[in-house]
Amino acid sequence: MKSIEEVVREGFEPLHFESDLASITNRNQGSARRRKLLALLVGGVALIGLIGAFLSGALSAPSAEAMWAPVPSSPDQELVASASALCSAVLPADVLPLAPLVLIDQRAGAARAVFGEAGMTDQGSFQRFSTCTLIKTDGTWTAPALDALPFEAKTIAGAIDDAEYDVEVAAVVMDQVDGVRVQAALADGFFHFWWISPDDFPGGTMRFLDARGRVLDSAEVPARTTG
Amino acid sequence: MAEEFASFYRDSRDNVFRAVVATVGSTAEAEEVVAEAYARAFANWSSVARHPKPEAWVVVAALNYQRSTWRKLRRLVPMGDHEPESLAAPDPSGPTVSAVYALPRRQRQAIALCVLLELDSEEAGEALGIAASTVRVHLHRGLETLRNRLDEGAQS
Repeated sequence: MKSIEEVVREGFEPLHFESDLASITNRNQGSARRRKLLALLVGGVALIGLIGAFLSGALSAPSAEAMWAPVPSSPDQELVASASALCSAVLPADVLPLAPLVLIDQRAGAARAVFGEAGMTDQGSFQRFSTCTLIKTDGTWTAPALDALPFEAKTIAGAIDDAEYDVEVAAVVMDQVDGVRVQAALADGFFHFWWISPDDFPGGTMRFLDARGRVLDSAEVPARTTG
Repeated sequence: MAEEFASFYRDSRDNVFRAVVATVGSTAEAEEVVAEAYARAFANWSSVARHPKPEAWVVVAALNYQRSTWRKLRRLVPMGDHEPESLAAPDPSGPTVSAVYALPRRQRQAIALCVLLELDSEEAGEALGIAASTVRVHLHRGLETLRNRLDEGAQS
């Protein structure tokens, strides 16, 4: 009688990884570049300055994607400066000293503060992130507990919780079929995000670009109606 | 260094691949992320080689890469459309693989690391960033569910 562990191993036995060693080691160049960029993300206050310095050079380079130009929305420095204090009631104390990335919706009515760090050690890669949702009511930012958030804020909280950030992605551009373009760009250390209305969406193409405007990936987004 | 990595690659790649397939639920996606993880291991081999379980390092690197932003950002558009807890459309790899795919994510991870990669619960817990006792609970529940489902399948 086989144990369940043996049954599992036998079930997966037909699966083999076929890539040859040369194809692995040849990927190394891109991997090393990503690691180098990842290293830039490590650290609290240094994070913002380093990414800003990186982008100030990278964004002035000729764009391979001539259609695209980074046009971030204005950073809300007051919100960034106060995010740690605002989020202190809902986040663990150990992440609060980290400088947050603040993702702000285009209507500037809700935001997500991401406190985190990532890097490599002898024991492997590590990352830790904590986030809190901020909403603006009557001109004042607050960070309510999740169950106290209005519906729209919950939606953006859930969506951005699911989205880590990758140092290769400098911008996300959505071209809707009706000609509207919405985009988010990383600049001055902040990844400015946009808000897509939960109402009817006409469909479009979403592209993910690196700092030089090269397309890393794209996705067709179907139309959606709320009926 | 290159020879040592080559030997590690040859010896570990199938088990690493199977562990990642069990977790991500797609052989095509697993091929991509495992290749990237091995590339990162090669680039960082001087420290990865000193890791007590380099194959676990590769699996965790692959799973981290699989979660990378631009894949996740796609999900921002259909707001509220989150990654399913279990995987509904497995590759055609037989009833055992299908049954593993139907398990919750943490149970799949526990089985991937403890059964397919043969880590103990302490090592798996360290790799996943959770307590060893939590790994044991997920592993026990996952294997129990698998046993029942495979028994049911054999009887029907």
